[in-house]
Amino acid sequence: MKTPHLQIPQVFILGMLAVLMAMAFWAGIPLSGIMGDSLVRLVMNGVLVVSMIPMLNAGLGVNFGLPVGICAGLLGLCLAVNLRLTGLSGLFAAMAFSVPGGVLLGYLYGRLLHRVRGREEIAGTFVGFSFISVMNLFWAVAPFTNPSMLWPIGGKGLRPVIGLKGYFAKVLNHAWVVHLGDLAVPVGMLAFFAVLCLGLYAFFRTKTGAAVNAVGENEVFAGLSGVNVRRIRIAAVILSTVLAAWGICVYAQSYGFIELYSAPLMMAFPAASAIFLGGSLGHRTAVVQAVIGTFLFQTTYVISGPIANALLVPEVAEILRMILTNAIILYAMLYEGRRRRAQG
Amino acid sequence: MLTIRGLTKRFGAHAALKSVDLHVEAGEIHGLVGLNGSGKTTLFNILFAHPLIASTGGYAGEVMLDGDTAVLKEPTQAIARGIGMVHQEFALIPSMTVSENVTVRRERVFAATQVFGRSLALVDRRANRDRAGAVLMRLGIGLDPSVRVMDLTVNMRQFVEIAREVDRGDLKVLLLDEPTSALHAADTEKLFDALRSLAASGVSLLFVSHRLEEVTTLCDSVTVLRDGEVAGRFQGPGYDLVELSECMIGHGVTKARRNVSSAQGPEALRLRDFSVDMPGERISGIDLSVLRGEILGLAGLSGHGRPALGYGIMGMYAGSGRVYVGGEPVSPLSVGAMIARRVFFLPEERRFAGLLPDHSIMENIVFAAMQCRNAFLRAFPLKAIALVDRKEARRFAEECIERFDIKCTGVYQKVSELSGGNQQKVCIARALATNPEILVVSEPTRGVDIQAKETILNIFLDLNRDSRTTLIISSSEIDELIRVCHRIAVIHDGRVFDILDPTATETEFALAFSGERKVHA
Repeated sequence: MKTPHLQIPQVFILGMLAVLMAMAFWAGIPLSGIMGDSLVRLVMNGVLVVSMIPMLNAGLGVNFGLPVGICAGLLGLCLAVNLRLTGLSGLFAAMAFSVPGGVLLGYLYGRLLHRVRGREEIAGTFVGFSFISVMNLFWAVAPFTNPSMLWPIGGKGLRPVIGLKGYFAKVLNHAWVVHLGDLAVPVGMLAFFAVLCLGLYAFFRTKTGAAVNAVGENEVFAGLSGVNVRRIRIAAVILSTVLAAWGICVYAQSYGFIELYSAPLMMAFPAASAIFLGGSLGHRTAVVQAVIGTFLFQTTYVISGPIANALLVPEVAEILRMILTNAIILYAMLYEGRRRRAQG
Repeated sequence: MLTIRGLTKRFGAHAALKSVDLHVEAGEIHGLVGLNGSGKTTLFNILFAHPLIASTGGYAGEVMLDGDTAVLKEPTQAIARGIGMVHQEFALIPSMTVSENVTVRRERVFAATQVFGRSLALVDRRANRDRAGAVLMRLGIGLDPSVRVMDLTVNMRQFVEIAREVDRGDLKVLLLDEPTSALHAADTEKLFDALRSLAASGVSLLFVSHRLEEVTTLCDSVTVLRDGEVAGRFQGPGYDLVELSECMIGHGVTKARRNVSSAQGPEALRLRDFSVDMPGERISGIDLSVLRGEILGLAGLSGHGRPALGYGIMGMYAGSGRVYVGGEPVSPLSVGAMIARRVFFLPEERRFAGLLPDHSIMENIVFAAMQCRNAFLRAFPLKAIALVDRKEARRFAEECIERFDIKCTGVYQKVSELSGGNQQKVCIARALATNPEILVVSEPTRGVDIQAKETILNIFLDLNRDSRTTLIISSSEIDELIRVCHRIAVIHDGRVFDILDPTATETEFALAFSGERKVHA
């Protein structure tokens, strides 16, 4: 049904990838290592990216308030570490612990976004920013007891960075790794992501999922067809928030650390670029688009690091990435503006 | 003096204006009347050089001002030629004062401060205030020009808008698009006085209104537009209101009419003292009863409240009064409650409210039934997250495509790719998926070609005959209503003015449209 056609961001990033690949080959960097890494990074960031889909499809735009969901996830992670849970069960416990917080925060966030209809993206950005400050207070006074999480001196308040070694660092990364020659494929991790994506795909084929899509496209239509528009919008925000909470759980175990305080401040932006890169420009976003976008985005990320090191211009790669991340968001907004004008 | 010769405007294949001639003398107040879609707005848009006209390929024909042809591609050209327009929705800046609004772009400045040109000179506020005050006095309005526009009533804003055009000095032609729709009777009188004195000073006025009695009181002559053509002209004092509305509605070239079998069974829907606060289309204190198996037509000019009925029943706008479905009161009114009682409403703005253009035909057809009646869902204990039964949905959609002859490539085609008529058929199919007993349809044949029009009307007649579905059809096409309805309710000024039999004469319809009781009985 959908005819795939490349848009400027995809052309640009594919071009950039090709150049980087050529440079990697020329610099003698093994591509198999890069591929393995980019598969890991796909899942590490992918959950955060797909978490944006429910809100995007419900017409609330890109969830620049991603830190709200991330904070719910961080809370779940901290609880799991405080209880000294380890291994895969520790990770899944953290995900389970983050659900109540995610639902509550998502509900409040959804109600707020319903009040600022039409300006959800900018409102979300500032909700995210200000919520991080609220959580900063919380992290500083929260009554956690596991000494490995607390400031070493004084013993009160959480550390900015909590190591997960000994708890559940990289448990998902290392679950069922299959070696194909030089290439290490994290099968367990990919399977986990696949199940999550399939679940989300199935959700959009349910009654509520269909209502989310309809509300995103035409609220009057949805209302006249008996859909409670407000409830569906809030449900979409709750779903996005819970998925974002799970996203940070997966991210943190992969990274090996829980980063608190101001760390989530900018996390919405790479996720937003990844989703635009997949070709979501104002239409319904398919899960597969988000996955492709994340893969392209993260592959450039993985590949540019070693090349920059090899070629001794370490700053350039980071600069290019920043330009890319933000330029894609800007392009998507320009495109959306043009599309709206064209529709009159 | 404004002369229009052979003005034609096409939007794609559709001709909105067909070779229209019009002449307005200096100092004349000329009325322009017609039903929805007759071309009034297009004519105004051409005269004021609305960018929409240029972007859709311009117009053919000639617009002449004082004898020479005017080039109208941008609004600035229209303004330079002395054409002014008073908009139906106000084009005022709310945070600025009355005097700032009236004198905008023509502010008096202190001559000494014009070193960097006029646009950077210091504005002489006092002079502007005095001038705005003087203009308002000329219009008969004693209004403090230093008040902000946002603090004014809607009535007063209309006067400020007119004052802004009058202040121009070089004004030759003033276009008024329903300027009275927001005014009370007393202010309407005041406005008419102002317009008369404006005309006396030599300005040509072109006045559009759906309130025919106003047109007859104010205008020296009237042109009637119908389907983009001039249907009639009325000159001089003493033309007849009823003749005017007859001309507007058109001669009922009645085609094969339904077999009028009189209705029937118990009461299906009843409105008691029903009011709906829909902006621009208010209705108040409506009492109406519709019988089971009946087709009721709703007629009336726009702005009189016809569209508010459907939206009101579905609880989409605030209102008061009672609605009974099958004898049972429904309260509060909501779409869910109505669909549960098997009442369905199809709004007139197909693309904006009636369809999901980016979704497939199948998704559109099954959506409402799925959301409200849990139809087309696979068995699952929790209905909210039950999967859509795509097989069943597909089967039903294919059945609809065949039954209604929807021209498409298949159930998965996007609705936005269909023609207007086929989109309307999808709308009807999605209403039928909910299995309604009462179907309220607004403008089902607007923007639909003749063949599809016949199909759609036949679908309604079949539905009514085979499943005894009660239909309420709101339409500005009186011909169609006459063909399919058992009774036709004419809405005038927010009330049911009269309920007519489809066999009623043209004159009776014309009278009801213009809100006149039979005087010469």
